[in-house]
Amino acid sequence: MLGTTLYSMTNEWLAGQYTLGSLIDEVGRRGIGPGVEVIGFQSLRGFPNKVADEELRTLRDAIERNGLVPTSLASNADIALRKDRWMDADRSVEYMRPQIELAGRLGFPVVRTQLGLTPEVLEKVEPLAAKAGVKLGMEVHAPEGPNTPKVMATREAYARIDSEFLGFVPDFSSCMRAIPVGMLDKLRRDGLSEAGVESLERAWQAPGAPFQRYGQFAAECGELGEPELPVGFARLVFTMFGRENLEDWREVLPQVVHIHGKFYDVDDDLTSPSIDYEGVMRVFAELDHQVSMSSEWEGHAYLDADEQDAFDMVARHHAMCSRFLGADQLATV
Amino acid sequence: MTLEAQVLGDSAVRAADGGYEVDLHLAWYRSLPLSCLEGIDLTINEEVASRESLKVTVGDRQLGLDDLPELDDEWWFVQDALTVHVPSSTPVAPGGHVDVDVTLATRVPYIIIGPDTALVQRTHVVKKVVVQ
Repeated sequence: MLGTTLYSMTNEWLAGQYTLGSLIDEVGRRGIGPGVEVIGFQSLRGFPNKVADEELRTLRDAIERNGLVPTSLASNADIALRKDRWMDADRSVEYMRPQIELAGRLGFPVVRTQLGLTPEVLEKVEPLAAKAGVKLGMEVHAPEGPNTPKVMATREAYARIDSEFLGFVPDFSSCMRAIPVGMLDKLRRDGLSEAGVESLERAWQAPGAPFQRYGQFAAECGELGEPELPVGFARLVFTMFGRENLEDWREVLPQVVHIHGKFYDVDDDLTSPSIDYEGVMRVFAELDHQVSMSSEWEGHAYLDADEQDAFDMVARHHAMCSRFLGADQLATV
Repeated sequence: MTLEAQVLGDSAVRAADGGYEVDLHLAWYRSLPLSCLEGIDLTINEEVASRESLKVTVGDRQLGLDDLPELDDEWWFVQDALTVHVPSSTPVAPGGHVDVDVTLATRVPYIIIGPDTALVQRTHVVKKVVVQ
């Protein structure tokens, strides 16, 4: 089932162009459902335990009147909420509890979780998920991939706990083939020279840990005399855009509970220069169970609302995915 | 770029008793509690406001930045402005222009970049605005 995450419309939301109800109405009007994913801490005032009943009603009513389907409520594992005292396992569990329970009350079948949840916390929140009737989907996002060490620790914990309520949410940022042109243009606008851009692309494509590759780029920029601002901002290039092998997603396919169809660009011929969607869709077409996929446009990291309409981008993404998936597979993914 | 664009709106600076009130928006895509607001560096017309002089409006209270680390259940909703009182010895009257230079430092409590280190997002905005 295709759909959208309201995160795609971050620019429009932050600018106050929409209320929660009118934003979901626009998703319905543009036909970019039926799935709808919501980030609790973005869309709901008072999330997770002080959301007004009226706000919850607004969300439910908007989804219903537009014939949409709630797919995933994205939670956050804010372990460094206090600088002086990070959450221990028990505090993390209590922090996750209302997020999971609210997802259940609102009819979201999946709660997107994050790697901040340790194996010990996972063990303790699993019964909460089972009680609420929601699946916890650990997001696998750049710079991680399906078999990087942090994700392997989660896979091992999952094998030990062995629950149908624990799964994964692959995010295609893990397996990109190029830095989005829009990001490079933003860095050029901020003063990065062509030699700096070439250095960035070289470091991004080099083997090694992301922070080491960034260090190599930053050192070269020092020699080139590049300005500080774009060199600092370019750190994001190494954390947002991963270079894992897309074929590796097969290792977690049976545990996939939802997908983040992350994308930055879709050309007129319905291909994405930065992510090999044909390859990714080929792998995910092998899924043997029904899974929802949110189109997640993140070009708002470097483009303003007046530069790109997020709804149009999501519509193009749907067209691209439909091109690579047959009708029967569209029903699966 | 876009998160920076949100921080200071065109009518964000108002004349107030003893200086200005400045409305700031988060430079992040989601709400954060005030315990994650690590710093605000504000300069208006080259008058640098000291950290101690800034007062943040939280409900009906005026709090200093050093009061915020405790407030891990006091949320700054991502669509809302946070009002900061900035004292000035030479405030510009409504209708006049001021040059505002602001850096917002927010800890992103789920992006862990090293042992005991969470990402601190620093967003720097320079803008000329009309005092309201």
